Amino acid sequence: MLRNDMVDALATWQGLAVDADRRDELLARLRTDEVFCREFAEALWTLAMLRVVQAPEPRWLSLSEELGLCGVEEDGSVDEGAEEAIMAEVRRKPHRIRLSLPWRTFAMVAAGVLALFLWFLFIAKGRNTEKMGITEVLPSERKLAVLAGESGAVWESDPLIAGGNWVRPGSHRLLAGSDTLLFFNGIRVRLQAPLEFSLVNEGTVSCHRGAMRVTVANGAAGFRVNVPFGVVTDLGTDFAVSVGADDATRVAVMEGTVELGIRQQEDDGIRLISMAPGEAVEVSATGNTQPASTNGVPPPPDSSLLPLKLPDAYADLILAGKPRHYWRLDRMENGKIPDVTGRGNPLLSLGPLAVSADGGGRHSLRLSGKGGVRSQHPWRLRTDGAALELWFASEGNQQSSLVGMATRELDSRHFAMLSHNSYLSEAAPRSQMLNTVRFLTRWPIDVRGGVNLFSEPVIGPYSWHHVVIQIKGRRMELHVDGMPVKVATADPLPKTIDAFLTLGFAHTMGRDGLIEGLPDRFLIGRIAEVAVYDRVLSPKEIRQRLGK
Amino acid sequence: MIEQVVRQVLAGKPDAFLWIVRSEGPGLRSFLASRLHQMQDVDDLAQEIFIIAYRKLREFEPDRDFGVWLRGIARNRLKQHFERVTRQTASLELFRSEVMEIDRMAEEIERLAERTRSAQLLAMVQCIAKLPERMRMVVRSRMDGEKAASLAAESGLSVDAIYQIQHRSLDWLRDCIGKEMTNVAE
Repeated sequence: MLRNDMVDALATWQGLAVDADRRDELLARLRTDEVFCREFAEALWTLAMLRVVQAPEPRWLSLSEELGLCGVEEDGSVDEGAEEAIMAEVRRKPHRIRLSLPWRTFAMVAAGVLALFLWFLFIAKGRNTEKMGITEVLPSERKLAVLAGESGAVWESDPLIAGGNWVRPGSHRLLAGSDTLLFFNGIRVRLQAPLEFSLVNEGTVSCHRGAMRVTVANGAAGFRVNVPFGVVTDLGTDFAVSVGADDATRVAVMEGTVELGIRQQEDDGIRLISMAPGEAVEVSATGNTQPASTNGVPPPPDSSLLPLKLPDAYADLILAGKPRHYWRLDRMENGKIPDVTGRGNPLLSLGPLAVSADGGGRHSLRLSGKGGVRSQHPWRLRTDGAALELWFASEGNQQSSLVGMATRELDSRHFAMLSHNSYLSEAAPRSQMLNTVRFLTRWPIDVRGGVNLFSEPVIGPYSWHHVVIQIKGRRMELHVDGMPVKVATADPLPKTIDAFLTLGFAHTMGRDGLIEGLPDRFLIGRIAEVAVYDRVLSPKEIRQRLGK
Repeated sequence: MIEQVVRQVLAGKPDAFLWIVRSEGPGLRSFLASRLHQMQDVDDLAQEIFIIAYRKLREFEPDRDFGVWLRGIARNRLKQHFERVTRQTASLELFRSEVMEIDRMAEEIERLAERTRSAQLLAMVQCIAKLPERMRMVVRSRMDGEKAASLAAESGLSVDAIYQIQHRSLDWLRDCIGKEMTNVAE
């Protein structure tokens, strides 16, 4: 009864017409039944939050007028004094975060969100490209997928949200050439002209006419393509869909399994057909099926990333900052990547990897998920001021180690780690958050524990991101793409630590406590421009790396 | 932190008030959305409330919770809103206004508002993505009375079933947000 009344009360609250007697009955129960009232309030509050996160971000134009700030959103003319004062206040009060206690995680996330607001307010406004503030992660912004932007693609109208690579949700028409949709969760859709399609949500596209091929990264099963006969649902695979002028649809499976949901014409029934690799079927608009050929399907999605765009004379900028070591990762000779500072500490190749050009022609270290690099020698890291910066882009859909620092070669007991989560398995710890980077320090060295900093959850695959981690005394800092500094207090560190560096993988704890462990958490993607410093970088220096 | 920003605003830097708007906006909008039917009304009222708050900022006592103070303004403004719309559209908002006149309900909503942080809204975004398909369909439809009917027609379910699914979805989301906010591990 409580449940029925609850559903009715919620429905009535949302405008469902009920007769006066029923309405009075519900009101009476709300007035007299404390438990029911509390449960209704909680449902109502959840519904309210739901409406807010799905609604567009308001523009507050009258408020801007009231404040005398008309145009501030557009021209970024925010008072820098206010910025500095507030940011100084943020920096003055570093907080200690231990993930072993739930409330601290809560506090960390809340503080991070506030910091993101600050960043959005005072820094992001000046950017002409991305505004990666809090609104970016809300569905109301509907930033669902980016476009690889392949040359030769001709669109009927610009498919992009102004000022970035994000594809506008809704219908699009590709007139000539091909391009690739890159979803936040690792799904890639090769679009082949002529094509009419709609971007529906983060897990669905509709194919109205033409051909597309979908590659679903490991762990992202469930992607759907709406077609005239119903829906094609991926179960972890590579498949192609093409819709003809008569709405007949061909589905071909290259790898994995696909499920077709074919609507019955005569009623509401849906017939499910499971398809295996090498199978192809043509389904008419009325749901009749017949075998088809797998020939002539579009090629698989281009795995190239969005190109890395660096400011001019980037290497000069880095070298002017007097790094302790600097690995551009744009060339490799005999399995060694040179340290361009001339201090003779090359990175050594471990496993299959290559230096190759990205989509923009810039060379960087390409990691295929089976290898990485390590520094040939340790260096003496001074904890009264040390920084590491790099650019990375993930092409896969996994939990990856970007940087590991240990006191022994290939040791699983790290004193510092930087990792990226673009996919989390069911077994992953719940403290790990999707599309974040994580900076961890542990002292004494161990395979567990430590103090963590997480970025905002906006670090998806396929695009390049700049990350700086730094330590000054016990103060840990994490900077990602110029977003506001995240700060935590590390456990006490010794004044100097001999640091061995690994990039692209980590040794995780070995069986029976063997500290050598096993290589794991490989990055599938690219790393470029890694530098370490015997000092911390200033916010201004970090912004310069981003061309600001 | 908010005291610092308030001082900045009162010292003649009105742009710092935008920080307050961004910080308190999601919570205030949730509070209003728990009472109002149309999101347009939610946003219009939220803006009015922020303007009032800006004008009355000198009355804010630094040792008070800013969100509580803001919701105090919101309650007064809501009362005026309900008086106006009740005259205009008798039944649509009537049930909501009567619900919110129940003291215990108002207290519960205030308690929930005090506990809500932006992090929970972020967690909700992540949880929506994890919802089972049918629940997500209902949740994403941003239902009102008419939407529920059309959704029912499209999906071949009854309106009652749609609201049942929505109710289960709210339970599911609440549970998911709770886990997102509290479960931690190395």
